[in-house]
Amino acid sequence: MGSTTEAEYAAFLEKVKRTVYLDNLSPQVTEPVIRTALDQFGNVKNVQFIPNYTEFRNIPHCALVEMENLKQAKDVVTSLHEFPFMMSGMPRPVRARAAEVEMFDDHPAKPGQRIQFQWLDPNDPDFEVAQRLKRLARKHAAEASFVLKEQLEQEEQLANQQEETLKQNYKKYETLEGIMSDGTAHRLGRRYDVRIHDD
Amino acid sequence: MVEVAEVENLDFKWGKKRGIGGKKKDVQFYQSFTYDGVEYTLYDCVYLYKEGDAEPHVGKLIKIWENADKAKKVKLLWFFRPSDISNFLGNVQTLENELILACGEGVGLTNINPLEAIAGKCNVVCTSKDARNPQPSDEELQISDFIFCRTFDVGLRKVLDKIDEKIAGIEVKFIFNRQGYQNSSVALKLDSNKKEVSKNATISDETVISAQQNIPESVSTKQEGGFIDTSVKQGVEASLIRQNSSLLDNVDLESGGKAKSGEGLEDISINSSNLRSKVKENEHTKVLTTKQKSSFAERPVSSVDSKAWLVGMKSSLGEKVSSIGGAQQGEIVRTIKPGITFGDKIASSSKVGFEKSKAKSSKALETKEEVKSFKDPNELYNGPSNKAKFDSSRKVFDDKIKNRVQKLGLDSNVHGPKPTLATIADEDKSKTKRAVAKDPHGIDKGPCKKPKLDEELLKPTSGKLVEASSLQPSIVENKSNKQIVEVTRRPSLDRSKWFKELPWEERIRVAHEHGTLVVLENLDPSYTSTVVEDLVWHAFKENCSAKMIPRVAFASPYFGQSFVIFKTREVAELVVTKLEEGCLLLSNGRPLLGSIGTPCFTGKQSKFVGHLALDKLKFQMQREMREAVSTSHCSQPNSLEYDMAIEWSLLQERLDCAWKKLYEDSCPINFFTTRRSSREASSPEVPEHTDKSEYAGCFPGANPPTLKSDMKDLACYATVLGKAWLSWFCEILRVTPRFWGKRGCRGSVRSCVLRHGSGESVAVVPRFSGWGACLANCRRPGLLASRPLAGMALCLLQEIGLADDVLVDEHDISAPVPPRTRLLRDIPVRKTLPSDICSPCLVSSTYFS
Repeated sequence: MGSTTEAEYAAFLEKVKRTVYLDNLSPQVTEPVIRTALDQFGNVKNVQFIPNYTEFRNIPHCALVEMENLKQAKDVVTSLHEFPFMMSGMPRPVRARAAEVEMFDDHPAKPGQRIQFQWLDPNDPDFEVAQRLKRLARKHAAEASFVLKEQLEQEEQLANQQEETLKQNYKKYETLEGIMSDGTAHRLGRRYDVRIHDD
Repeated sequence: MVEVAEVENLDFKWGKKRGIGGKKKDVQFYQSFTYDGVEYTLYDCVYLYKEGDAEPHVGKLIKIWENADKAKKVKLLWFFRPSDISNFLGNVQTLENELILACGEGVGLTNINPLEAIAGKCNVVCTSKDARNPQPSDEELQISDFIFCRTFDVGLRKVLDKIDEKIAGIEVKFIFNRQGYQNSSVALKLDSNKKEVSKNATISDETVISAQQNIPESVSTKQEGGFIDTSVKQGVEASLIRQNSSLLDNVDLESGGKAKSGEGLEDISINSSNLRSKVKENEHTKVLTTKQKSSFAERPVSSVDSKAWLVGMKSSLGEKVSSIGGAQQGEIVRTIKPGITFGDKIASSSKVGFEKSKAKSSKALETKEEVKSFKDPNELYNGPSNKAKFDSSRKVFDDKIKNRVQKLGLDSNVHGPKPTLATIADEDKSKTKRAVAKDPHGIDKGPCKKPKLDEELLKPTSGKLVEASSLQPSIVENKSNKQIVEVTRRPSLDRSKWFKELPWEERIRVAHEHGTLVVLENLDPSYTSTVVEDLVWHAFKENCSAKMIPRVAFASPYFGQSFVIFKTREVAELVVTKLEEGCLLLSNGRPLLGSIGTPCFTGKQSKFVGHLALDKLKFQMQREMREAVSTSHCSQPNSLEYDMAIEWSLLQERLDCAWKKLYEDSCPINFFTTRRSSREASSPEVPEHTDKSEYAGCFPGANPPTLKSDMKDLACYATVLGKAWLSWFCEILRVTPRFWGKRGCRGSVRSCVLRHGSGESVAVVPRFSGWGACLANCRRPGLLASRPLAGMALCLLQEIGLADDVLVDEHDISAPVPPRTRLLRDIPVRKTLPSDICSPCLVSSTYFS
């Protein structure tokens, strides 16, 4: 009994090792998209999206991608770290990192893990401390939530800024196109003695 | 397998035959049968136990037959408990004792079971307002074990309010309450009494069996020695006492019921409760003496009490009982019983009570019973079953009881034809057995107001349900005793496996709508969902289904969260309050937090922050973009996209640092680590709420993590270049340490690549580095020649003084090149370009190869 659960857990740890955690995924990314995208690094064995029930609506998706072996998983992580990797849109790149045990919602219990709890007596001097800890935990949760909110804001800000840049670029390209059509390019060509032909 | 063997022993008799069926006409159908002393007829509702299930299933007998191989089978139409189908209930609110009848077609409608699986009768009343249904009276409702008024279509998986004409081929009249139910409430009462009797009989029968088994033991050991002999007898006695005390419970409640109904029996109920507490005390002392006597008791215990139903009680009941305790118990049972049956008479003088009760009991039960006043505990009311108890107890403690017997003798003399106690001492065990068998007849005289209780009695009798009931109290104690509770597997539930569970998203949504969703926080993230379920079970004694929320990259590694769905809103609220007011400390030293869950559901997101697209798709650039959207790719360094992607990477990196820093700070929330410090030095109160200003300091924006220094420089170049240079028709494409892409050339060249037109690229070495040079067409030699616009851009660059030199590849000579253009080839690298800009590696591989 014990040995089988341990073996199971060991197998699971192996699985964790060859799994890559992807985030910053667009909602349009589906399993086939991930499969085709990561095919170049190795065989994708399994793709599992991590559902998000708790946080804000517009949080990027994340997924666990199980590769065939550890090496492939490492390849994915390094490659995606080195080169910005676009999936179903740009320019926000997808990020990859090694998966962790707690990211699996069906992870098996650690063998030999003993779970204990106790109800504290309200008269116990520790009770007050524990209550304070509760508040502290809530505070930390609030902080995390705040940082997350801030992160989303920053991301949005960057996205807006980039959109602006893109628009400007686009405008410039239009201008370039314009100098071709309105003869500016030809005039310049005459000046530099260059034959301009429409391409 | 003990139980099966036991079952075989129980008497069984077929009742009325119905017909013959089957392929070879070898199947005999029956209308009724008697099993275990209980008569079952077609369309009765019965309990069925399944190994490992906490609660019995309830079904309706719709077919009874015997196969050719003598296998007795029953076909059952199932009732569901609301918990079985909680996923499909929607917002249907069910009563506590409500069942839901299966209907429709599919798995879970009916099953064929061996007849032996039946554990007892069950009183299910239909409360449907259907005109076809004879409406039950209030009394019937009170005595019913369960009610039902809804059906559950196993095919459609929907709860319906109406009942179809036929369910599983059974006409609806058999499903509703039976005809005549309404009119003959008295008869029904009797009937239900009968049922109770039969249930009680079940108990006593088993007791008899156990007693029977004990007897040979005791007989055989008699010769061996006094100690063992007595111990065995104690075993017998103990089982009898056990029975009595359980019956006593029943009686007690009966009297309570009576008192409520206003028959002036309050004093009796008080008395009985007093007596009951005495019994409790006795039992307590029993347990206390246990340890001392264990050496004697052990052996007989193991041999005698092999019965499954006694397992839970083995230790306490198999022990030596003080004669007074035993006697008192018997006494109490007796005294209460007549008290109820003839309550009003007891209120008057005891003598009168004696007479009347004697007359009545002899008529009704043909057993001799005496009525005794409560006030005289020494005078025992004596009946055959009492004999049994006294018999055994007297044998053990002969001397002690003698006085008592004499007193009893006085009574018995008054009431003639009863075997005297003098003979009891010598009576053999078979009498004991008979007496026990008769015992329940005493109790059935009072209408049983609490069938539920009987059910409770039944459960331990069948021996499969000991664990849950014994577990709970211990937990309650633990709560107050501040003991550390080890969480083990909770007892398995009767959660039906017939239906696949809904996906969690759906379940969470439904639970949220009904307010049964709770979020537990501050868990150890390594807990699994089952562990959380077990934890909740042990901490609150509530069943639930839990779902750990998988941790994402930005979530705290110390702050595990889990959704927990309870059965009702009340339970959910109770749990939250308990967690709020009390303090549940987990083994990792963190107190558990709970709140009513408010999940947010990810709807369809159309737009993703950070993914850009242009509105108009006129140019090639945009066509490329559109194509890129549909595929995945590594961004190439010569594109605008790459530039933006690098910006994103920077942001992500920064935010990661922020998270890391945040969780480093929040790491030491741990009871064991903070306990001392917070006691000694009272730390400043933690603010309850949060707002932006308060945490400005902790947010990375205030103190952004530093980039690698060279990247910072590049970013700076890019900005300056972008602002100052060429912005009117060239765009800074990227600033990168890896100038020429993937292969080779990883030298660190600080330069900017300008994108110009569609596809050309020009490298610009910033002028303020001292070397204003344009490296034309650095990526693909020859490309510039075909792109006149790019060439013209170079010319402009030089003309307006932004570039000292324009260097072009020889392949690009045909391109429009500025007048003072030099070939890259002609430039002595070391002299023209600073080495930190143009590393040998770069130059050799790209320009001069």
